[in-house]
Formats: sequence, C-alpha cells, structure tokens
Amino acid sequence: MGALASAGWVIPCLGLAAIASGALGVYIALVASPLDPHRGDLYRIMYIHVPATWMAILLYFVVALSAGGGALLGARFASTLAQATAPTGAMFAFMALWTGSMWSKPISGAWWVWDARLVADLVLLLLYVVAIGAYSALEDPRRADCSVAWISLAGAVIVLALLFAVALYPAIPGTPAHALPAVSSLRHWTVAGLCAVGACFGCYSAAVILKRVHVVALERRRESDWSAPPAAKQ
Amino acid sequence: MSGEFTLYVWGAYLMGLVMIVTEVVLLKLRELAIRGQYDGRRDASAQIAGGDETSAHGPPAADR
Repeated sequence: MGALASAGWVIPCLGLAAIASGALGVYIALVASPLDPHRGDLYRIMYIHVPATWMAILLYFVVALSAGGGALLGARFASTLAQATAPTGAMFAFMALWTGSMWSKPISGAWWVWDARLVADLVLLLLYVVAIGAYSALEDPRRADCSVAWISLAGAVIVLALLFAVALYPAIPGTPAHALPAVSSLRHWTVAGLCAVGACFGCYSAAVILKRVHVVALERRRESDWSAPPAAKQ
Repeated sequence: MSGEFTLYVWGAYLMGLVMIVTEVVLLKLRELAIRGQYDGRRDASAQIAGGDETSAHGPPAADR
C-alpha cells in the first residue's frame, strides 16, 4: 500500500499518455488514414475493435496468472491485482464484441453472425463475467481468490484454444477480419493507428488498474480487520 | 468520411468513449465510498475515545 501511495504520480502520467496517444490514434483512424478501396469507410472500426480485442485477451491472461499465482503462493497483492484487472478486461471484451457487431451489421445485415472472432469475443466476455461474479458472490476473499484462480486458469486454456480456432478458421465475408489492408500505402497508416490506439488502451488500463488495486486493497482491509487502524490517507 | 457507414463508425467510437468515461466515473465513486467509510469510522473512533483525539475534519472536540 505504501508503494502504491508513493506511486500516485504514475497514474496521472499514464492518463495523460493515454489521452495523447488516443487523440493521435483517433486522428489517424478517422482523418489521416485514406479510404480502403475494398472495405470502404467501415474498416475504420478496426482501429478500435482490434486493440480492444488485444487488451481483452492480454488482461485475461493477467487475471489468470495473478489469480493463480496469488492462490498458489499466497500472495495477497497478486489476488488483489486479479480482482482489480477483471472489470477493465470485461469492459474491453464488451467493447470488442459491440464494435464487431457494428462492423458486421451494415454488410451482413445482422448484428450477430456465428463467426469465430465474434464467438471468441463473446466467450471472453462470459469468462470475465464469471470471474467478477465469483468475486461478488463469495464474501470470504480467500475463497473467492481460490475459486477465481481455478476458473481463470481453466478460462485461459479456453482462450488459447479460441486463439488457435480464430487463426485456423477463415473469416466469414462481411465480418470483422483482422487482416491488414491489401494496399501497401494504407498499411503504414493502419499499423500506426493500431499502435497509437493500442498504446492508449494500454496506458489507460494500467492507470485504471493501479487505481482500482488501491481501492480493492482498502475494501479487503476493511472486510478482513475492521478494528485495525484506518489506512493512511493520501 | 462519407457514405452510409458513417453512423456505424461514429457509433463505435462514441460507444468506446462512453464506456471508458463510465468506468472512470464508477471507479471514482467506489473510491469515494470506501474513503467515506474510513472517514466516518475515524470520526466515530474519536468520539468513543472521549473527544481527546483529533477529528479527521477539525480540531479536538474539547477546543470546539
């Protein structure tokens, strides 16, 4: 907790970095990037859909590894990190699912198609919901940590299987395909835009998770030992 | 940007922004709630101790 309190200046710096890289990414995505001759304007959704998917997958592995490490090694900070990471990962999973639906709707005419990528986003969101639900339903933090550790480790295996399935299964035409544009001049803008929005999401996630770790640690201290002296105020 | 897809593109970006802002606001409310509970507990502890401890929001009760 002391380290978190002394690292309070990190969160505003991460927030500023997220705003700057996000502004750059949106400028590239909506203004600077030229029109894709094959996919039209709709491919611009890729600049938010793909980084959101990256973050959802990455944060789920953070949840699984920290929850598993916390349960196996008895490290309370790791369990706190897992609980603090899950809501942000769920938000990105929902964002990936929703933007994927908005991508496929104008072309296929349906908000939902049974494409491997959309199904993977949905399964990822459900795995997050299960983890968050376990933290909310179980009052004893140690039991919740142990349950989430097993659930998230099993979920990590499912996510790995989904990644292989997505790599092997060809995209249905009109659904979100994560391929770079065929036009070489457009690839530079695409890579730059994806990197900028990815950096924005990464900095944002780090800032929010650091803040939530502090809040979750306060809540756990309150629940475990209410008679102890209150935490030092910042 | 032009064409019939504009609504979907802007909708996707606005939805992302709304979700991020919502998460930040909810986290801030959660932080304020837990800090309020600690502040209330500190004030209650000071009153139980007979007012000889400094309150979190003002001078000792004996000086008021």
